[in-house]
Amino acid sequence: MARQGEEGDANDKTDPKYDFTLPRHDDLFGAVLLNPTFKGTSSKGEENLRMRRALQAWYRNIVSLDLRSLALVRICYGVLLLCDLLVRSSSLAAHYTDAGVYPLAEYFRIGHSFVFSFHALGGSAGFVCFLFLLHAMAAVCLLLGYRTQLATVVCWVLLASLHNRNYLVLNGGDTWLRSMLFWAIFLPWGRCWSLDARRADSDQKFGHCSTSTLAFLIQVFLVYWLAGVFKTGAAWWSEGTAIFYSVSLTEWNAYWAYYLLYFPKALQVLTFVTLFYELVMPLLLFFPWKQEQIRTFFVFLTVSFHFGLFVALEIGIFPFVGIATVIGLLPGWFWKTRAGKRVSRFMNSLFAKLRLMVDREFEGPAFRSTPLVQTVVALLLGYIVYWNVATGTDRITIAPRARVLGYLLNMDQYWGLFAPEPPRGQTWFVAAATLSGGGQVDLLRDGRPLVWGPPDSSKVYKSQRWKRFLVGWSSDNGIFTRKPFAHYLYRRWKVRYPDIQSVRFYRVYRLTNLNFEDEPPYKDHLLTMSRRELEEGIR
Amino acid sequence: MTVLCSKFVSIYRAGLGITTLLFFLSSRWWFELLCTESGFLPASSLVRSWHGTPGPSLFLLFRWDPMNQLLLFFAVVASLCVFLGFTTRASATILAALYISLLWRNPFAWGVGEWWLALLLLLSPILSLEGRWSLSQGGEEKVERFWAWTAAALPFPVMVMQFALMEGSPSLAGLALLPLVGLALSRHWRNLLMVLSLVTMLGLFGWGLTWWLGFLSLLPLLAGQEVERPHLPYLAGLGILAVLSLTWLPFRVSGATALKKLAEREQRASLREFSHRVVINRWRGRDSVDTVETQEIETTRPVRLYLASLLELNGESRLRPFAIGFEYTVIQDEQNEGVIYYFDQSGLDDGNRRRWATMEVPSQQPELWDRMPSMKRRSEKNI
Repeated sequence: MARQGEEGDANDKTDPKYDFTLPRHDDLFGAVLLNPTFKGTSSKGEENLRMRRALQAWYRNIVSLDLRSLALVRICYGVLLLCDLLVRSSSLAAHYTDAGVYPLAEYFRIGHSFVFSFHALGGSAGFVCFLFLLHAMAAVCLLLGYRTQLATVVCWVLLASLHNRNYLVLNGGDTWLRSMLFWAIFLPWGRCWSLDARRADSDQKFGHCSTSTLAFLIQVFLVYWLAGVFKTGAAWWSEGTAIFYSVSLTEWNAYWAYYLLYFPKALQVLTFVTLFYELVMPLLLFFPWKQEQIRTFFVFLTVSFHFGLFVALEIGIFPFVGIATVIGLLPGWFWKTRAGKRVSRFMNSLFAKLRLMVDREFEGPAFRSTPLVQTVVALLLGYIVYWNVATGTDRITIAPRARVLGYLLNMDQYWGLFAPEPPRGQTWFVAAATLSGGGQVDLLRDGRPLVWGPPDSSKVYKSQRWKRFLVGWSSDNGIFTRKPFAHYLYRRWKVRYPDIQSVRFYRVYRLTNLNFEDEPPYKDHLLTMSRRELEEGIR
Repeated sequence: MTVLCSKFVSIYRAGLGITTLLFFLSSRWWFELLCTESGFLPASSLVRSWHGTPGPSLFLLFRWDPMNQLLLFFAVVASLCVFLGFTTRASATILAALYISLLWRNPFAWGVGEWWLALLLLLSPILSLEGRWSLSQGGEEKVERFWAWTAAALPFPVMVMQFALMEGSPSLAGLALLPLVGLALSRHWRNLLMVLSLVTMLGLFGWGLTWWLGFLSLLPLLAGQEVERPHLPYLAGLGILAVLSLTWLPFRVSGATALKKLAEREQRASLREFSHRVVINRWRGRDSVDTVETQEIETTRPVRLYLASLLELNGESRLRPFAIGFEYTVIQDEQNEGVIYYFDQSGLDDGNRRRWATMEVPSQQPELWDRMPSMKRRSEKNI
């Protein structure tokens, strides 16, 4: 195994594009749709045959994924899941228990019927803690590649369950991670750099082509391309101000990102570049020539794009999921380069050491995939593509009964990121508590005296999850959590301010002016809770 | 270690399987009323009335009735597998999880028997139940008796039940230790003590599910042939554990009292068996009391127990969620109608009909499919 990557390379003497070790039934599209069974004798027949072969070669070239790249994705996802759980656990009681902002009584009253959540089977912190620990264990198994397929299933089930428990704290990154984990259940991403893969298979090929890899590819394509397609606002197309408005958003921007606002021209260029990138670059994934080089370029460009998002905006897990996912598209060509070989060598030695530490003799269960499973994957892929198309247009709809499958599998998705355009104003929130002496403090800003100006988001919000929650909480989607949130705040601040008489909640909105002139803020009153109501709520 | 006779253990396994199978098959008459979203107690009402969930119930995983019916189907298959001894340990685990989940879905509807069965099922995954007469055993060598540490857990359900129900008379509570003492004796004495224990239970519970479970619980402890006596330290450990669990552990504080109340309620419910019916009157318009239709609900045992729980909770704030659940059931068929619901208690107490509550008539109750959220709901404003 220590020489896994290099041995594989040494065996790639034949063109790896056409050399696949998996049975043909794994690749339903390739086998069924593009099977060159036609044997013509005429010149037209030969031409047809040549055409079909070229088409099949193109298809395999496009759809095949490298097992080393998939292994890297697996490792990144494992780390991501662990970090995500760590961040979430800082607000575990607030977000997932009865003592928090979304108690089970509200969950069962409002939450819709077709999604499942193990986290909603108990409202105590102990129970949720237990599930978090279980989830973390599965994530570690995924990271190490220990019983990988089972670990992937457990990770996906628990992630979907966690998401369903409180969807108000989610963002696009969560949906993306959940969707990719689902497809990964059907991918052999534990075959390389894992505890499962004990023996170095001398004739192992690293190209893998199946319906599952097609699903992986299509899902990545849908995310980027639809994110571009849904951006129809004037800020993206004619004004070029979308990035300016995005960076101005109090609730999302990083502290230093304000400095970018001094370069409006550069931001305008960035707006168009982003649009071009999202609309055109994903199409290159299906480009017939120089696919491996183009794909490597796409991966590095996308990593840079997400890195840019990470430094400019505080959007939680999203950029990391993006980076981790596109790594899976790195082709075999990359692993033959000097950088690829270096990474490969390092990972080989790392997992060789790990295996020595754990159990030298352990060999994990083989990856299982049957024609039936691949057929199901193909059908699901069709369903998801149709779902995505339906979210983009009013002309196509999915009947409510047909939507149930999407909700049951947690594959409901919508990739309108900052679409049709970013909000043209900043929003922040105020929880003005009136004390018995008449003074007012803001419970959302560390209990300091009330001011109406915009907060420094990175200091006020404990994590990006809280920002996302407050945005959802103030919208119609989260109207049912308004009172529980008030109760939660009161319970939290009661010790420090035992004389709170009432709490008034506001959403403050201020238009972003391109000339940096301050517009007067607009206060939207959301809720008032008297002391009696607050006391009753926490009883 | 405890020596068990594999034949008795196998009969015990088959008994557990058939009891749960019958329980699940009988759910045809009460499952929809008691354990579904369209029944008396939707999940939201359960959580409100219990101030949380009673326990992690798989029947709360989806709030869509077809999925719950699917779970029920799995439970039937699992109980059949336990009965036949097919992949027994896995089946027993699944069966225990699903059975306890069903009980927690509506904890107001069950008597002592059902909870006792839950206790037995909870222990079944840790026991070796495949000794004889099982599909999984196949042509392997037949084992007449076997030793198992985990078998020490077998007397505990009996002890717990006996002790809980005899809590009022401490002098008799010592009888609960009989099965445990039996483990230390030779074959005949052990069998004798088990029979004695059975007779005690017969006196306590009377005929019915609880008596059958009492019999079933003691069955694997019977010795088919001469047994070796367990070592003294092992027995001493068991004794200490028994004393702790019966006297000092928190179970005694809450669990025993709850069981006792449960048994009493069950007894009262059985007394009301023939004089008890639920009437739902529907009327049109808010102020009118003209009865349009009267509907009686078939009062099977769980329904009767559930209604008995309601009667005892009457007047408490817990009642309203039940009422909402009740209303929900009726309203979903015919919209824009009001409901008055009460027990017809003629023959009981003062013989007057007691009206529980009158609910506001909700405006158009949307259909399940119409309540489905938008496709963009969860991801709206994604970033």
